[in-house]
Amino acid sequence: MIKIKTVRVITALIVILVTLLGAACKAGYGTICSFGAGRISFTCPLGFLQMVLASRKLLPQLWLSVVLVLLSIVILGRFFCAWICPAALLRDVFRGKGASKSRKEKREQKGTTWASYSRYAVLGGALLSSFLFGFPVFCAVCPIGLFFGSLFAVNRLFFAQQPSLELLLFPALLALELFVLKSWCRSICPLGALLSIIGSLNRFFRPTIRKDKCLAAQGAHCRVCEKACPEEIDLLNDSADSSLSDCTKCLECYEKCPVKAIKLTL
Amino acid sequence: MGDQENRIERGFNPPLTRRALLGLVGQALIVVGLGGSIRFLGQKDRFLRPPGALTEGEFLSLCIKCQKCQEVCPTGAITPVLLTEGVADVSTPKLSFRPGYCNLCMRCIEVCPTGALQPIEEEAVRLGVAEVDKESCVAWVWVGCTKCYEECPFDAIALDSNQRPIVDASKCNGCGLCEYICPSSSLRSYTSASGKGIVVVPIGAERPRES
Repeated sequence: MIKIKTVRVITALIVILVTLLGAACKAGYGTICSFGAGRISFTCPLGFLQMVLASRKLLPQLWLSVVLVLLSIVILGRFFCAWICPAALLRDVFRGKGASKSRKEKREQKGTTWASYSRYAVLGGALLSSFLFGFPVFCAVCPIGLFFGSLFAVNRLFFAQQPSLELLLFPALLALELFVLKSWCRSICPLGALLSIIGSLNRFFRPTIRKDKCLAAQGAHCRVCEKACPEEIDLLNDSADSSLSDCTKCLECYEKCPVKAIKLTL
Repeated sequence: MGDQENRIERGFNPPLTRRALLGLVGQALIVVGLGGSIRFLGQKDRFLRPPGALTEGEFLSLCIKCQKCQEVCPTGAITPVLLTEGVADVSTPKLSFRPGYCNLCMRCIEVCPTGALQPIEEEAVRLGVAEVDKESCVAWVWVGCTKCYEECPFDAIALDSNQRPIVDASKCNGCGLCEYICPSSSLRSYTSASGKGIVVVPIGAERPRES
C-alpha cells in the first residue's frame, strides 16, 4: 500500500518538474507564482492582493485568474498547501512528524491557542506593508519564490557559468524559515492564512466522520484523526464545520483512521 | 468523558488576552518593518527593464517575479536582478546584453500576467541608450574596429573622422545589439580589460558629456 504522503510528495515533484521543463523549453508557463498561459493562469492570490494594494489599481487583467483560483478552492479547498506547495514538500521530505506532535502537546497543556491566529497577523502585516512601501513585500521572502530562485540559481551556475550569492542565501533563508522558525505553515505562512479564509467557500471533498463506525463516537479514547491532522482539526467536535476551512485535503486522517470511519463527502 | 469536557472548555475561539493581542500586533509590525527595510536599505542600482516596462515604482509594485518573461526571451537577454545588485529588486527581470540583445519580439510583454510590462509600439521602445566606453573601445584605444557601426539596426552609430564610433542618442533605442556583439572584451582580454567598448545604460544615467 503506497502511503498518502508519498503520493503528495510525487504530486509536488511533478508540478516542479513541469515548471522546470516549461522553463527549459521557453514555454512561458511561469512558476507557481503565476502558472499558466496568457490570461488563463493561476496567479497567487496573495500576490494579487499585495499588487492591488501596492499599485493602488484593481488589475482587471488578473480577475479571470482570481476566479479560477476561487473555483479551485470551492472544489478542492486548501489542497495547494498539501499537494503543490514546495515548502510543504520540503517539510514532508526532510522532517518527520515528531516535532509538530510535541508542539501540539505543549499547546494542549497551555490551553490557549492564540498562536493559531498568528499567521493572520502576518497576512495583515504583509498587506499593510505592501500598501505602505509599494511592492509585494511577502514575495521577497516567500519560501515558494526562494525555492524556485534557488533552482534557477543552480541552473545559472551550470548553464551560464555564473555563480551568485543566491546559491547560498536563498537555500539558507529557506531552511531558516522552514526548519528554524519551525511551525512556518501553521503559524507564519500568510498564503496559508489567506487560503484558509477563502477555504470557507470549499464545498467538496470535505472529510466527515461516520459516527456509526467511529470509535470515539462510541465512547472509546481514540483521537487518531485529530493527532494526524497537521491543521489540528477535530472532526468529531461540533464546531469542526468551521475549522474545516483549514483542511488542506492531505488525507492523513482518512489514511490513519483505524476503522476507516472518515469519508470525503462530495 | 473528561476528554470531551476538556475539549469544550478549550474551545475553538480562545479568549484574546491583551498579551496575545500584543503578540499578534507585534508580529504584524515585524512584517511591516521587513517591507520597509527591504525598500529603503535595499535600493542600489538602476536597471534596464524589458520593453514596455512601467516606470520603476509602478513596475516594482506589479512584478511578482514569476519568471515568465525571463523564460520566454529568445535571446536570453532577460535575466534576474541578483541580490548583490539590489535587495528590493531581487529576482525581478533586467536586460543584460552580454548573453543576448533585445530583438523587440515582445514575447515578454505577451506572457506578463500582471501588466508590469505593457504592450508598446516598436517605434516607442526606449530601453536605454548606448554609450561608448572610450577606455575599453578597440577603435578608441587602438584603431580599426567598426563592428557596432556595421551592425546597429537603427543606424544610431556614426563614425567620426578617425573612424571611431559615436552614438546618436536620438536614434538609439537601447536594443543592446552593439553591446552584445562588441568584441572588445575578447580582443583586449590579455590587457586585463574586461569591459565592453559600448554599453547600454538606463535613460537618465548617462555619463556627463565631455565637450
